[in-house]
Amino acid sequence: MAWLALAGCREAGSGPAGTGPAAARARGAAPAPADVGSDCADVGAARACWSEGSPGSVLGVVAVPRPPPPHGAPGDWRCRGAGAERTCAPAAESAGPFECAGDRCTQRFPRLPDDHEWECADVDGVVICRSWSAGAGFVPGRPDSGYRCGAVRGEPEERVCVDFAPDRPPGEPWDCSFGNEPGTPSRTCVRGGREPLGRRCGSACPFGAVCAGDRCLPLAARPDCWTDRDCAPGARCAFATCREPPR
Amino acid sequence: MTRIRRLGALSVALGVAACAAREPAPVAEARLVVAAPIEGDVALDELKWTPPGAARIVRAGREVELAVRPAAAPGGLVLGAPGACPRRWTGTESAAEERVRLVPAFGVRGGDLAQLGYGAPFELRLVPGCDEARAAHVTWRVTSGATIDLTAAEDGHVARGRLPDAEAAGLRAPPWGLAPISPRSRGEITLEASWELEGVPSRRTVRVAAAARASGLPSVAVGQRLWLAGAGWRVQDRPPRAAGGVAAAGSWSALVPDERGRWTLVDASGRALSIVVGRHAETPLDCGRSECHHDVASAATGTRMATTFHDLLGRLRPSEPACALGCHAVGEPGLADGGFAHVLASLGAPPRFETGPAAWDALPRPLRRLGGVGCTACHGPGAIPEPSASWAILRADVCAVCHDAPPRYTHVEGWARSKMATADRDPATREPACRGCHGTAGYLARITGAPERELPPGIATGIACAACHAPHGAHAGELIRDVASPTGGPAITDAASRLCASCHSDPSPGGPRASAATLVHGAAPGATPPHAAVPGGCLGCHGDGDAATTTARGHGHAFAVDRSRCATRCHVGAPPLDDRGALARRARELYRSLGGEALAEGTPPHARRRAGAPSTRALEAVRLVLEDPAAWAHNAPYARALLEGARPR
Repeated sequence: MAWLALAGCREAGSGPAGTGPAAARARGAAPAPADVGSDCADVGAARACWSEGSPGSVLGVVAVPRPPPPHGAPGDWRCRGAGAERTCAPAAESAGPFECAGDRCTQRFPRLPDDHEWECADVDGVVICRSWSAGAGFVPGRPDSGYRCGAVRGEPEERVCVDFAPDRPPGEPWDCSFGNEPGTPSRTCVRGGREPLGRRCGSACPFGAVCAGDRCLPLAARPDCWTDRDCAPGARCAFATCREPPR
Repeated sequence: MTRIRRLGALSVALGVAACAAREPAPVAEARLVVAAPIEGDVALDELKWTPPGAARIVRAGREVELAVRPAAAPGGLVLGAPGACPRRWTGTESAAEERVRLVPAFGVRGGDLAQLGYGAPFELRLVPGCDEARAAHVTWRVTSGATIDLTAAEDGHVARGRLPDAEAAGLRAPPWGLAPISPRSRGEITLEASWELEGVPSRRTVRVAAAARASGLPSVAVGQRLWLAGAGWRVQDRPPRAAGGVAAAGSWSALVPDERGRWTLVDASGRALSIVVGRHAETPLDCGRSECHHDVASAATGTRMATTFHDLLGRLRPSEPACALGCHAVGEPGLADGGFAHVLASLGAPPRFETGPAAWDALPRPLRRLGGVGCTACHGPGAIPEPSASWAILRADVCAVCHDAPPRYTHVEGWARSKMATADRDPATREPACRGCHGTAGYLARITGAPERELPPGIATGIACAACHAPHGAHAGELIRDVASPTGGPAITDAASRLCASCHSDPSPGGPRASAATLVHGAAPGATPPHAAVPGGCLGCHGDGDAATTTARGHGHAFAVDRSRCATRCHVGAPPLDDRGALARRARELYRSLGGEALAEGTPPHARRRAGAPSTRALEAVRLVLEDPAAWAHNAPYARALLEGARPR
């Protein structure tokens, strides 16, 4: 009898119903005390902070423990913020469910950065999206807080965003991809492939990521490209950020 | 196929805290979130429980959060709400399941309830959600719509009836092609099932309709049954994988397009009709791209059309989809058309539809895009409409999809009774010289300077909704189109009156000829225009009437004057002199004597005036009176003065 076992003190004067500390915890306050600095994000099953010069950083990337979710599985939650400010909300509140048949799962209404029109790609377990038009005829809402966005180089009207911890069906590994039929972005994951970014380093990490704390973690994300052509000659677009190739 | 649902529970507060030794013994409480599905008519706001003292409501909304005192409910808590199966919460669930989802007492099966077909029999079968419901006796009644014979069987768990046929439902055949269908003509019937479970009386509303609403535009939703006027229709071309075909349905033909893409139909004479088929949620809303409709899209986002769901969020009851979602959001509830209701059902965790500034942001993105009367609500879910939709969008039928739902929404019904609706019925009025005031396309071209949309031969639209209302913005409140006061006339402050004056004002060369607004604002020597200062301008008499005392929206769109109001509001105790006949007769005689054309009663001069006909100041003055059939009411002193001044001396 789970709730019968609960006992505690009602905190007098804790504010309106549902807004007290207990409620705040329930709504997903999930502090990350090991964070370094204020620029951190979940990356797959891992967590990274970007803090140049911090002890233990590799090219400015620090691997930190990813705190457990308020309850349930990590994938059930969508978290943002760093340190004591980190909060989580149920992922199901803002995106469609995965519908699975055998080894194939489809998400009819995948998470997108905001109410613009987007085309997206799933690269190494990271979702990268490019906006190609504002959405017309409705009241726009708050952007999804898990995406990091910026303007494409030389195209200030065009935005590109990256999500290092996108929705995935439970139980890795999955190989996910976006279908970008106009107006109908959907996401399909098939069983197989390798774990998403944030995985253990193994033999090597992909271009644009480094091995920190035995995790493949992305270099600092300042989204500014969709393809290599958006970058300066010789540079390459990796995880939506132009980067100089290793010499 | 399995659906992986993520935990949607938000408010599981485990509230365990250490107690200071000096504090009195705490009361142990646990939080329990009670939810109900969107559909099912579960009245969560009337949630009750036994023992009554064992819980209290902490938060109420789409979900109800209870603080439960386990010690006061040793046998568990029995939850009950109208429409739901009783649920005993024994506390045996794990900590992660401190969330109860009430099950509707009955589900309903009956086929494609939103479009069963005109004259079609229907059978509604209640599916019990629990043993208590299985044993319940159910009674049925029709609460709105056509009168039908409704029979119940199997202790009320089955109801049978027949929907009205097309004629009885008021479906009018268009001259050709797709039939527009409004809430009024879709043959909708609302039924109510009533029962009692463990002392809790419950009701469930079930709506059945013969047809889904349709604007008549050739841009339609997948799965929507289209009604075609005439016979002999067949599918000439359809998208790959499509299989839908035309079926005869009485004097009509019907087609259910089952795939997105372009369909081509041909009638018995070989005339082709091309339609584009899509789903609302799958249509890109990139209409505002810089090379397309940028300004229109930007302006539209802030209009009442686009914000209607946003503004009503929290006050709508999503459990009443036909009312709440059918006209405040995109799509037809009950169809798999990618509309709001369809996507809502597709999402794993139904949103909570709460109030407050964060409520909109809390809606999932796919629903925000469909919440409100967005682009595809009027233009159709086909991404790029057929060229023929360019003129068809101007028809009142498009607005009628929502605004023809009497007795509550009477905009189109009223308008259809007005002379505005038939302004271009006479083919002569569709000539270029007349279209600027007799047809919507011509009027819009005249006042906006944009190219005139070309109508097919024989098509009349009247002065329809779009002439006076600007759904995309640049309006002066209530979507009233903002136009300038007529050149040379008085500055009219009231936006609606400016619209009226744009046609019903002083003749200008080659322009409009009706003169009511001129008469209203004209002043006889030493007199004040009697109706120039009526509050509300033209609509003060021709408009809403007793809108303040009626719940009907759109009341007054017939623009008729209720003369009884003259005597009760302004002319108290002294009814206005009605010299309608005498004034008009004198004007016609004078006009003829001055060399004008002979005019039959009720015929304005501009309808008869020949090219090269004489025009003098005296004739123009008399024309002003003759052009306004209500000159006697608008400003009799001024009309008399005009005639007196025109009289030969």
